[in-house]
Amino acid sequence: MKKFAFALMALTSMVFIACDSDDDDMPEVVATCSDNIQNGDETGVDCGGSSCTPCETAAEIPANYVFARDGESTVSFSGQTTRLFMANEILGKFKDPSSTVGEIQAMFAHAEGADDFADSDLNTSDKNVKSKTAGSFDYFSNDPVTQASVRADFDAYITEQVNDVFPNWNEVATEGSAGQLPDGSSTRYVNANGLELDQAFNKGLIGAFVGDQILNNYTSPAQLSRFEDDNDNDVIVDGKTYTDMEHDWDEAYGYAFGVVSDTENPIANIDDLDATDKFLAKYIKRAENDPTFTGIAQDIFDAYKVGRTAIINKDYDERNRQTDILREAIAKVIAIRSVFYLQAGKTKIEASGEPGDIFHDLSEGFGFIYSLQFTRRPGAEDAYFTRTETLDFLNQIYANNTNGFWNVTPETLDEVSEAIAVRFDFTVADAADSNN
Amino acid sequence: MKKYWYVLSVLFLVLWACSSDNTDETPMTDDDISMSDDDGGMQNVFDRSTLLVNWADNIIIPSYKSFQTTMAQLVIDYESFEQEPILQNLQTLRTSWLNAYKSWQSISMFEIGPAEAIGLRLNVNTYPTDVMLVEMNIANGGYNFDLSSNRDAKGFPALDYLLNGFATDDLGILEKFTTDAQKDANLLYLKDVINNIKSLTDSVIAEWEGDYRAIFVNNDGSSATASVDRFSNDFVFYYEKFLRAGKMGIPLGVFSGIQSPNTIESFYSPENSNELFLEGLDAVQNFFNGASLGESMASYLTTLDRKDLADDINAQFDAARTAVEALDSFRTELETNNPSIAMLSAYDEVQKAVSLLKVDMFSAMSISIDFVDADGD
Repeated sequence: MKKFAFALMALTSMVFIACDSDDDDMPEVVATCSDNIQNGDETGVDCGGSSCTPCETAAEIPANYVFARDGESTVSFSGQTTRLFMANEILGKFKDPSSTVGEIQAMFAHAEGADDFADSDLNTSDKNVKSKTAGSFDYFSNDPVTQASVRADFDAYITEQVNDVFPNWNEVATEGSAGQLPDGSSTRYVNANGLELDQAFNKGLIGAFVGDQILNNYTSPAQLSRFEDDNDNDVIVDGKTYTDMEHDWDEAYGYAFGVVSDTENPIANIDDLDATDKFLAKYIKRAENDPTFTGIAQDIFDAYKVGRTAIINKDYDERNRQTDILREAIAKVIAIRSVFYLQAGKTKIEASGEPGDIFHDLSEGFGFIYSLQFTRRPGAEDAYFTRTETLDFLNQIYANNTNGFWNVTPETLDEVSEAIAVRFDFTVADAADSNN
Repeated sequence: MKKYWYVLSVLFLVLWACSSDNTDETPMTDDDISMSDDDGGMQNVFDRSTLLVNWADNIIIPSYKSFQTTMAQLVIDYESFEQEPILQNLQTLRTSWLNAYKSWQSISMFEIGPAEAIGLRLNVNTYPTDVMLVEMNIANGGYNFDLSSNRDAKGFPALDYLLNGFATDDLGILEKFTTDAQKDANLLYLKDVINNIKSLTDSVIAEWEGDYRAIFVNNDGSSATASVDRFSNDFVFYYEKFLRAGKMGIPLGVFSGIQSPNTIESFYSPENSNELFLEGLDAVQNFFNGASLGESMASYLTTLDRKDLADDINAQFDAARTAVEALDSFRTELETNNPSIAMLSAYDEVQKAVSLLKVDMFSAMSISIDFVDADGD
């Protein structure tokens, strides 16, 4: 299939081939060197064999996510690493009751040079998280209303944490009032309805920020096709070593694996994935650790490598196939964790577990369900669930109940779990026994 | 000290014999037959209700009562110290604290029912204690010990700090309670921490002496929610997470890769750490053998023709004890050697019992594991 990419080259060299092959006196064989099919004794499409030019060796899929041009690495995703570190620091502020709304919102919408972060490297950066939250080309460039609504959701998590939870930081939470609850040896801080806003923020960003950027922006054919001419002609971005398309794909990779300890081979030590990452990579690990889903981490890593190699080989069909693999696998990770946490919460409700333990699971589930609206069905323009559908799920498990999580029923959690799993090739039970 | 329980236990046996006839007459149900046919047609019969009665009446309740006695002494000795804060009274108070702390090691594993409902273990023995939080609470007053965020500022580890680590030497510690500008707040905190342990454990004991004993003993089936299954899980969970990991594995850095002497139990009186561990190990083994007063995990295994396994488990507990007894204080081991090979070797002996209990014993008893590692966030 990579041979298609060389059709152009084959065409331009046809003249020379015609000259070279005069002596074998078989002009009809020569004609097959430009007919876009592998025929005669060609070893590839229009190349190889006794008459055509030798087939060029295409780039091979590397073992690690390592790509180079003329001996220099072409891989760069420092912007993603920076944004993920920013997001981590924002999460920390949710746990510091002296933080103000202004401080956290300034971190979220960081402006270059502003003294928002403890890590001074982040302060000098011109990047921020908010502009990439509901910021994808495919979903939001023509939908400013939804974009604003999503960003307002995250701003509201910040506001509510500061205005409603922080004042009750040193109170025991009870039904209808915010405060803290024990969860094993941890302490959880919930709003009056039992929701941990930092979990809603964190797990919601897995879809709205990380997932949306990967799926609806940097691996999207609609986005990448803009760079096909330049990529075909090996046009290198000014002052860099990569083409625009290569760089976009790497940015998609960076959102998944930009802060893990081994960015070249993140799955070599799968247990390390959550040591530094609190977003997608962490939950790729969790899905991988469930025997039902073993292999999903390799599938994701392979799709990134194969797709990147296809870009080098200018094989955009292959690239698009890898995009589809990523769409399905990443949506699945988010859906598995949505169902897992709802089921974990359900089991603990039925066993009369600690409210703090139950609410922690449900709060994580809340964020993952929210993230479903940013997934992308393979070969399609839409998500596995619409925004309306995901918000309806959240209403069922949370807003529709008196005092939210305090009164959600196991039946409701089962109904929503089923409604999520049914759109995938796994069952509620498959996801429920997923390893922590 | 253990002998003391036995005396109490015998008393309870006598009392129990008078009140339990109706339970004994409960007809045996299928649940009482421990092995189902599909396990190879074995028909060994083990009466789980007798096991539960022995656990409750000869071990759990007497251990709680024994702890209550040591706490009563701790309160008395605190009051003497408050009235006359002199070195001798400080030393007496320390002795009572240590006795209560040692006695705690015998009840820490009973995190089921009322203890589980209030999270007793984490409220009473979360360490390392958060010294900054302790100091902040004392300075600010108005602390709320119902908050889970205060669990690492109270309990026995906070008392260890207040009684043994509040200043660099005894004189300094005494000054904290006599001439220090905050002496009243310091004394109050000491008192409040002691009373918090006392009131939490009193409430648990009251429930065992009230309705909970019957609930526990009557739940004598063999489902995942039956008392034997649930408590066996709690027992192994305690051994694995609190005795093995908490007292040795975490300080050794087995999980993090970093030796952390500051995470040992009784950090401010490191001469006690090993003893507290050994008390815990003794309690585990005593429980495993039913305090030699009745049915037990060991006798259950024997009924299942697995006396060999019961013997192996006992031998492993003995090997672990021998290995730990040979060590210097944990803190000295960890601060002198990195890696601390001797302590790691002892840990290994402790560790070996985990799979005997969790894999072999559970499999023999057809008990499923109901705990997993907690979510890391």
